[in-house]
Amino acid sequence: MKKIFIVFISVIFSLVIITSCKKFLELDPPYTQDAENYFQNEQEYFRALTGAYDLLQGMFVSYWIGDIASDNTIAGGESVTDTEGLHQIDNMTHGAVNNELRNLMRWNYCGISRCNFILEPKENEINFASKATILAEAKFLRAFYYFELVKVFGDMPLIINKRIGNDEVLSSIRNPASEVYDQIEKDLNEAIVILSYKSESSHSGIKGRVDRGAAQALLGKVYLYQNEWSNADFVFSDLINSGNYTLASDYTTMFSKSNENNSETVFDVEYSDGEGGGYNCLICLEGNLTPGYQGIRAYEGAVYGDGNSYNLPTQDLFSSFEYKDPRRDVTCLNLDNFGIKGVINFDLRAFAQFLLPLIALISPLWANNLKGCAKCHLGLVLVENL
Amino acid sequence: MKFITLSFLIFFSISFFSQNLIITGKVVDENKETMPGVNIKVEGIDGGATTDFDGRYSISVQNQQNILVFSFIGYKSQSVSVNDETNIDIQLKPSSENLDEVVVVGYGTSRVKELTGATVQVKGESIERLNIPRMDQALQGQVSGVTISTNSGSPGGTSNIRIRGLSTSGNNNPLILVDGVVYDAQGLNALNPGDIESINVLKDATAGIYGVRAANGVIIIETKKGKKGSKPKFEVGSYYGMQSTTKKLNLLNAGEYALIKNEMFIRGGGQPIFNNTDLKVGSNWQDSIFQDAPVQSFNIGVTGGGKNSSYSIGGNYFSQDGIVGGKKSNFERYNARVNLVNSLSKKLTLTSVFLYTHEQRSVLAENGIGSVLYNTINAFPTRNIHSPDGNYEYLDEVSDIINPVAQIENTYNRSLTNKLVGKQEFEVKILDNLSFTNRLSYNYAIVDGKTFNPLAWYGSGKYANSALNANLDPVMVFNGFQYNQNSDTYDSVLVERGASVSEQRATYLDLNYESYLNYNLNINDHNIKSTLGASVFRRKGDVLNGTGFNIPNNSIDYADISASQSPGQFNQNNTGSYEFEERLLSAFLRGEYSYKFKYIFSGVIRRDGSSKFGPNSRYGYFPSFSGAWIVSEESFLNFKPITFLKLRTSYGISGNDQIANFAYRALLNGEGVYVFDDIITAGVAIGTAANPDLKWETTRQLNIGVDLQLFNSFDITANYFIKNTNDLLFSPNVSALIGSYGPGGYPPIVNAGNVSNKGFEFEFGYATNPNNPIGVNVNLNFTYLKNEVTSVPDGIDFIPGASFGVGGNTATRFEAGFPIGYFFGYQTNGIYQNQTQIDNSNIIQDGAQVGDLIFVDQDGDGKINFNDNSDKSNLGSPLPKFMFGTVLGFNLYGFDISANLYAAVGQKIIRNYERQQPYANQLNYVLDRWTVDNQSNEVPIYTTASNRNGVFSDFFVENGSFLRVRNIQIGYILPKDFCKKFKTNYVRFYLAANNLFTFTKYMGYDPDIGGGALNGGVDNGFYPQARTIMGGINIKF
Repeated sequence: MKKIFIVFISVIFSLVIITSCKKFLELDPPYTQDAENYFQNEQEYFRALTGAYDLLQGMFVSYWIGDIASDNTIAGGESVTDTEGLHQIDNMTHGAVNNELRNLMRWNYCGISRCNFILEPKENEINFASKATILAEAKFLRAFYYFELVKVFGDMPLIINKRIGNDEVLSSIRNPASEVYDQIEKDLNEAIVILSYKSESSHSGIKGRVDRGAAQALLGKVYLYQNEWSNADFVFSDLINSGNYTLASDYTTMFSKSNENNSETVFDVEYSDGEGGGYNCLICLEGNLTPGYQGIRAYEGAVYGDGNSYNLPTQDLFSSFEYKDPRRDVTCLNLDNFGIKGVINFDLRAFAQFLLPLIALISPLWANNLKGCAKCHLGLVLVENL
Repeated sequence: MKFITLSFLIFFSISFFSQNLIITGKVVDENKETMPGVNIKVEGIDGGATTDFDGRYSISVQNQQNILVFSFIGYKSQSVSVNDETNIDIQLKPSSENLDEVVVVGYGTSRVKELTGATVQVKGESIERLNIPRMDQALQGQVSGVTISTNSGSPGGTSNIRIRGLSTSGNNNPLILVDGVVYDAQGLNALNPGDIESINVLKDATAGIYGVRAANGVIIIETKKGKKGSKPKFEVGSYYGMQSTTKKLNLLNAGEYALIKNEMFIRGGGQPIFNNTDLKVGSNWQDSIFQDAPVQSFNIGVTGGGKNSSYSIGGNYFSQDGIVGGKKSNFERYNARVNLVNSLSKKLTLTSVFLYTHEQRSVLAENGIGSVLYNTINAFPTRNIHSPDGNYEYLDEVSDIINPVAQIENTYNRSLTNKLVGKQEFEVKILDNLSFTNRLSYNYAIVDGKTFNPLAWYGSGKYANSALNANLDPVMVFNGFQYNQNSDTYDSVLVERGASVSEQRATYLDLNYESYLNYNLNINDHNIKSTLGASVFRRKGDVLNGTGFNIPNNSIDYADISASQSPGQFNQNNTGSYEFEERLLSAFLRGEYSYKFKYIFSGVIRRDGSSKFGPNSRYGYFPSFSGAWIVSEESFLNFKPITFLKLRTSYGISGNDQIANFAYRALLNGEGVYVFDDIITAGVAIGTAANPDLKWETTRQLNIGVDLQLFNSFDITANYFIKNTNDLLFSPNVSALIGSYGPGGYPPIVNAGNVSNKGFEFEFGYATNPNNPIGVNVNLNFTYLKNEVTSVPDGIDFIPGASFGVGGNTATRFEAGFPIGYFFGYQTNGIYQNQTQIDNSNIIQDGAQVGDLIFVDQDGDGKINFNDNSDKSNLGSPLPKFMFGTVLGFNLYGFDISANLYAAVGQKIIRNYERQQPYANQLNYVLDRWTVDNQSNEVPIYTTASNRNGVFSDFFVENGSFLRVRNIQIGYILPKDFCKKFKTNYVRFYLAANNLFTFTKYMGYDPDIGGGALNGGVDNGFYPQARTIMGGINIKF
C-alpha cells in the first residue's frame, strides 16, 4: 500500500512539473530576427532610433491643420473635395472622422511606439558608450510627438515604455493634458541632462540628430504653452546664454536651402530629394512635400515647378503685417509681383470682388461654394470676407 | 476490532457448513480457439477468476444454485447455472450487438453502450474493401456529419476532411491520431488502408479531452493488432484494375468551332477567319490527353500471438498511374507495419508500433489556369496535335494556352517521401483498477522533391516559354557588372540561362510524450472512471532548397544540381531555407460517473499551453460536460420492439491551435528611413505590430442525440448540433494607439469574428448475422448542415477568396451573413431579345446589345454599375446542404454483392475553365447561343467586340449536386471444405468498380470539387477522379 502511495505521489509530482515548465513554451523563431529578439548591439539601437526619427517628417500635417483652422490660410487645393478633411477644418465642419486629424493621431502614436520600442525594458540589456545618448534622443522624440498630440487633442492616453495590444486599447483612458505635459517635461529634462550641444565634441556631429539645445528649446516652448513663464524663462536663458545661437541677419533668405542650418536654427526636420515618391503614401516620403503642395497651381515659369495650391494665405494674414515689415513679402507670395502671365484670370478676380457679393444676396450657399472655387484657382486671394 | 473477529467467526462457520465447490473448465471462442483472460464471476459474490493461457479456469462457488457469469470484451456474456456439474466448458460468441464493443476514446477505452458523445465507429474492413488508396476518400459517405471533398483526382491527390462544417477561414483539419500518434492530414497518403483495424470519429464536445486541438473534431485510427495465444494467421491479397476518366467534356468540334468563331469575328466587326466551315471533327484534344491507366496493389500480413505477446506484421505495395499523363502523374507506395504487444510481466505491458512508408509521386500542372486540362479544354480543334515535321503544333493565337500534349512531355518532377511513425507504450497495472500508461510517439518524415525545367518553346509570345526561340537556345540574363579597361566603363555581363533543376528536402519530426493514469472503481451500482494525465509535444521542421541552371543537353538524364554548368554567381541566389518549431504542453482530467450504467455523467477539463500563442494567452482551459440516460434500462419502458434507447447531450469548449507560428510577434518589416548628414539612412521599424494577446480559435458546441435499437437488429442514431466558432484570425483596422500606422506598418493579427454551424445527422444500420448463408446489411446516413459567418470585426467588410477568369474580380468571399466562401457576382434575368426591349427597359445597362445577358439591378438605382459591387449579390454557396451516404450489401451462399453510394445536394460550382479569348475553344452549349433564328433566353451572343457577358455572373455558376456510385462489388467466397483442401481458411474472389456512375447536371469533369475554405467550388479544369474496374483476390490461411 505504501509503495502504491509513493508511486502515486511521484506521478502527480512529475505531471505537475511537466505542465508548469513555462520556459519550454517560450520559443523564438529559429534564425529570424524580429522585434522580440532585437537590440543585440549598438548598430541595432541606432537603426531603431532612425526608425523613430522617421515620423518627424510627418509634421506637415500639424502645420496644415493649425494654419488652416486659423484665419491665416485657407485649405486650397483643386476643389472643395480635394483633401476634404482640410476643407472641413477650414469651415469648422469636421466631425469625429477626419482624415487629417486621424493621420496626425496615427503618425504621432506610431512615432511614440517606435520610441517605446527602444525605451521599453529588454530581456537582456546590453551596454555601450553611446547608449545613454540614444535613449535620450528617443525621449526627446517621444516628448515631441506627445507635444503634437496634446496641442491638437488635449487629454490623450499615455503609453510609456511598452507596446500595447487591443485589450489594453479598450481599457486605456484619456490622461488629462496636465499629465501628458508632465510626461513631456520629464522626458525632456532627462534628455537635457545627457545630451550635448551640437557644437560640442561630445555630440555625434551628425546633422539631423537631436542635441541639448533642441531639447531645451522644446522644453521652453512646452512651458510657454502652459503659461509657465518663469519655467520657460529659466530654460530659455540657459539656452540663450550657452552662446550656441544668434539671430540671422537677413530674414528674407533665412529659409532658403542654401542657408539650411544657419545660426538661428536650433532644431529642424531633415528631408532629402534623393528618393522621389508618389501620392499613395505621404508618410513614406523622404522629401518635403509642402513646397510642392503649397506651390502655385499650373505655374509655368522660371525657377520653380507647379504645385497644388494648398494652404493659401488670406488677406487677413497679409494685412496683419505692419507697414514695410520685411517679413511680409517673404511670407505671402504676391503672384502679380512674381510676374506670372495668364495664371490669374482677371475676370475671375473681378468676379470674386464684385459679383460674388451680389450672388450671396440670392443664395449664400451658392456663393460660398463659388468662393471656395475662386479661392482655389487664384494664387493670391484678394477676396473680401463676406 | 470486536466486530471484525465476530464476522470472521461467522464467515468461517458458514463456510465450514456450506459445500465448497470448485468448478473448473475451459473457455473457447467461435473458432474453437482457447481464450485466455476471460472473466468469470459468481453472481452476487465479490471476487472471481480469469482463464489462463490455455483457456482454463478454476473458481469456487458456494452451492449448486450459484450462477457463473463469463464475460470478455467484444463477446456476448454467458451466464450458466452450476447445477450438478463440476466441469463447465464454455464457448463464447462475438457480440453481434455493437453496443458491447469497446472503442478507443482518447486516453482510454469505453463500451459503445456507455458513450455520452456523438461518435461513429467504422470498421477498417469498410475502408479496405473499397480499394481506394487514401483513407479519407474511402471514408466519404460512410459517416454522417463528415464531409470529404477531393482536391484533385490525380494519383496521390489530397482531400479535405470537414467534421460538422467549415469553422474558420484558416485550418479546418481535424486532429488525426493513428495508434495515439498525431498524423497530419497532408500526410494521409502514406497510410495504408489495409493496416486499419478501426476508425472512431469524435464529432462533438466529447473530443474535448484533446483540448486546443479538438475544435475541428478528432479521428482516432487504430491499426491491426495480434491476439495472444493464437497461431499465426496469414493473409494475402491483391487486386489489379484499369482506370479511365468518368467524363469527357462536350467541346466543339472543328466544324462547330469554325462556325461559332466566324460568327464571333463578324459580330465584332471583323472578317470571318475560316473560309470553309465544313471541317468535320478535327482534333480531339481530350482523347489525346486521357488514357487508360492501371492501378494495382499487393499486400501480405501475419497476426498471431504467443503466451506473453502478440504481433501483427504486414506489408503492402500500391501503384497507380494517372488517367492524364500516365507515368508522369503517378503514385507509388510501399508500406510496412509492425505491431507488437509484450506482457513483460503480469503487471507490465509494452506496446511497440512501427509504421513505415515510402512513397513516390509525380504530378502535372493541375487544377489551375495553365494546367494540362485547362489547356486541353481551350485548345483549338482546328489545329492538329502534331505539326507535319513531327513537332507539336503551336496554338499561337492565345498566349496563355499551350499544347497540352507537349506540356505533359516537358513535365518532369518527382517527390519522394520516407516516413516512420510509431510509438513505444508502457503500461503498468499498479492495482487491478489503476493503470499507469507512458507513451513516447514519433512521426518522422523526409520529403524530397526534384523538378526539372527543360528549355521549352511553345510558340512565340507564350508565357510558358523558357527558351529564347524554336531552336531551344537559352535566354541571356543579366549577371552583374564587369570592368572594361579599354572603355573605362562597367559593362553588363550576360550569361546563358538554360535548363534548370530545383531540388528540395524537407525534414519533419514530431515527438510526443504522454503519461496518464486510468482508474476504475465499482461500488455496488456505482461506477466511477477517471483519467488524469499530461502530454508534451514538439514539432520541428526544416526545409532546404536550391536551383541549378544550365543542365547539359537539356536532358532529364543530367537533371541534378551537381550537373549544373552555370557560373557560380548565378546559382548562389537560388537557394533557400526555412525552419519552424512548435511546442505544446498539456494536462487533462476526465471523470465519469454512472449509476447502474443507466445514468452516465462525464466531465473533462484540459489545460493546454502552446508556443504559438501570445505571452498573455499562453495557457487555455477547455472544459466539456456530457451525460447519457439509457432509457431502455428503465423499468417503465417495457415496449418490446425497443431493445435499446439512449438519450444523450454534450456541451463543451475546445480550441483550434493551427494558426501560423509566431503570428503574435512583431516583425521588423516596417519602413524606418530618415536623413542624417543629407544621406538617406535606412533604419529599422516594426511593420506588423505585435499582439501579445493572440490565442487559439475557440469552438463551443452543443449536441443532443438519441441512439435507438429496434428488435435487436435495427440501429438508429440521430444528432442535432449547434457549433459556434469565434476568435478567428484577422488583420482588421485597429486603434492608432497601437502605433501600427506608420510607414510600412501593418495592423496586428487579432482574434475576432464568429462562424456558426448548425445541423442534423441521422444514421440507420441493419445487418443480419454474417455467418448466415443468406444475409443483408444496410447502412444509411444523412446530414443536413447550415453554415454561416455570423460576425466579422470592425473595419473588415469581407475577406476575398478566389478570383474569376484571368485577373478578374473576386468571385468568392468570407462575409458576415453568408456561408464561408459564398459566390458573389451579378444576377442575370434572361436575354435582350430585341432593340425595343433594350430601349424600353427602365434599367440602364451600358453598351447592351440584342442578344446580351440582362443583369439585375440589385440596389435599385436604375442602372447596372460595372465599376463597383453595388449590383452584385449572393449567387450560391460551394458547401452542400444535404449529404446522403448508403452502403448496401447482400450475401447469398458465398456470393456477395455490395454498393456504396454518396450524394451531396445544394452546392454550386463556378465554371472557371473557359479562357475567354476569341480563339479559345468552348463547350458545345454555345451552339444554343442567341441568334435571330434561335431566340435563346439562356445563352447570350458571342463576339470579339467587348461586351459585359463575360463578367462573373450566375451564367457561370452551375448546380453541383450529384449522386455517385462510389463502389460496386461482386464477390465469391469459396466453400470452407474446398479451402481446407488447399490448406487455406478463406478465399474470396471479387470484381469491383469505383465511381461507376455519377448522376449530375454539372457540365465539368467532376462535381466533387474541394478547395480551401475561402476558394472552394471553383473549377479551373479539375483533374477528375477515375472510374476503375478491377478484380482481386483475398486469401487467409
